[in-house]
Amino acid sequence: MVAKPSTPTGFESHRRRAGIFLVSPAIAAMMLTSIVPLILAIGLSFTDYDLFSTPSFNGLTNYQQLFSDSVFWQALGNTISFAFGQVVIGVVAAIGVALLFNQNLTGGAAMRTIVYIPQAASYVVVALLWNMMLDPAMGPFSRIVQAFGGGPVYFLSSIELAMPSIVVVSLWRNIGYFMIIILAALKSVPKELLEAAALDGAGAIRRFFYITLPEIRSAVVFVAITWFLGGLQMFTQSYVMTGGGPINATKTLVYIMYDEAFSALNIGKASAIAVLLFGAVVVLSVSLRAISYLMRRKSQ
Amino acid sequence: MKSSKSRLPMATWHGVALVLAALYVVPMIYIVLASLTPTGEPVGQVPSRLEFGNYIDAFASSNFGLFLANSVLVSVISTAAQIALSCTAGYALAKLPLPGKGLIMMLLVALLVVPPEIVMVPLFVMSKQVPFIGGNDWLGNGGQGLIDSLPGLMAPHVVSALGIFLMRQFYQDLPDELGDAARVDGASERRIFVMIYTPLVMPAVAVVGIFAFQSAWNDFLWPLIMTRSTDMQTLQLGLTVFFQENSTQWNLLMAVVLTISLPVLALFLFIQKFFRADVMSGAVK
Repeated sequence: MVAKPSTPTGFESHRRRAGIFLVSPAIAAMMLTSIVPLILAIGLSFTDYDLFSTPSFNGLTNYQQLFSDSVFWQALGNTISFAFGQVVIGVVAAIGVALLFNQNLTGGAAMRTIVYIPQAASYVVVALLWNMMLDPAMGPFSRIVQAFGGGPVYFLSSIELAMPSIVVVSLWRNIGYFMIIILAALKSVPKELLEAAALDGAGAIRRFFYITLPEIRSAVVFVAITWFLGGLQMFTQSYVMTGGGPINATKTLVYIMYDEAFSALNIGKASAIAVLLFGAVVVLSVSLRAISYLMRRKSQ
Repeated sequence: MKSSKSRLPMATWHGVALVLAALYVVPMIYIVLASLTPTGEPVGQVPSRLEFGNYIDAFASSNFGLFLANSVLVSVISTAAQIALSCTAGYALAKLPLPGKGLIMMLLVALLVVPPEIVMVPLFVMSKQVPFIGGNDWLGNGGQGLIDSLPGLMAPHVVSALGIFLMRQFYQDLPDELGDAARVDGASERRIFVMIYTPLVMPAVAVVGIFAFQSAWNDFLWPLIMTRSTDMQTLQLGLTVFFQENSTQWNLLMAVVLTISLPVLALFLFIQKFFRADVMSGAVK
């Protein structure tokens, strides 16, 4: 057995060196892939950079152009309605599905797995699958409508139906994941509470709103925040399913950022969109977390 | 609980669950049937015969074999890098004295909410300007840098704040006494990290690895931006291009969709149980 190093300071500095040695590669990588690009995005958003010529400072021009561009406002509206629509329907549906699988169903585990499976598929795969399912000629939904005497339904090429279709497809893929989180929270609701309430004559609906829902609240808040912030970044479904159309009806913020950067080669304007999106995400996540923290404090 | 069961009988729950499961099973049956429909027959109906040759035709009609190789290379290497960086940094942040540890942790937590899409454009600019690579001069001008290369495709996936953060939490939960005891026995810091603590966090390593693999494998926007030549396309991008160019060949498209989804699906189901338990215990708090 070797004795402990005699000088504690030398020992400390040895461990400190080991720590710096271990943490440095990750910090360098984070710098290169997140922090520097983030700062660069802010910087470039005040320039007219086009990928080839030397960028020159143009102040708030990019932001002014964006704010006076109707496509930007449309994309902002589309992004919010996608994220909001998906979260509102999704949270209610995920709670419903979790309650369903919280019963002792025969074959419940298998059905739960089936609902969870699309989570393993990429958005590209899910989008392609649903392009087939929603096809006006050969998709089952349009064919059912036709069987009842209607015309073919153009889910993805109609202005009214395109975005709702993408919302439903995204819900189809994502519900399983969020359902599992809520199901885990449901399993930890104390059974005694529910039984006592039932003995006191509280019905299933009252028990849900007065006991279950408050008990799973933090899981629900977590799901809602994660899902909403994820929804603000939607791109792949629109790109693959509708190409952003018809007439920009499914263009999102990330989509117009992509267009500006790689079709118009307007890196400055694309960076301005990224900065705005970043600002929105930061403000939203900070304020939502603050609200849920205050709610928890109040309830204690 | 008896009373609730009489009001909402189990049969109703089962009925609802079956309808729900059907919403998932029917599209899956559609993919399988479509992928086996002979070319020329309309998909979405029961095919006259099952054409297994579609699977061969699909991979022969485009470079899906090459795309698969690209996807595997990009995903495996960036997953390995992310595991290594998450373990080293996570361990240092949890168990070793570090100057500025509080600041690093604050930055990490802040970076957790930064969506990857936001840094795509500047990261592209940086990749294009890497000096001495891809025909660039020392100022990073003149060539294409890392654009259209496999290392370029890996760039955003080699490290993640979430991976470091998760590993740090798991190392933190292990007792300090383990390391102290080994130190008394004369073990080096490297040995304590590699041989004592890391084997105990293997479930967490698996979780971080699966996150990393999935995000690299399923990524679409970054390959779309970074790829110029067909040779560098990943599966997700190759599939989309194939769809855009041959949107009527649903049978071949679905054959590829099914083929590339099955391995990931198998992996997913295989690790599902422990994936769920570990992720949720970390995430829901």
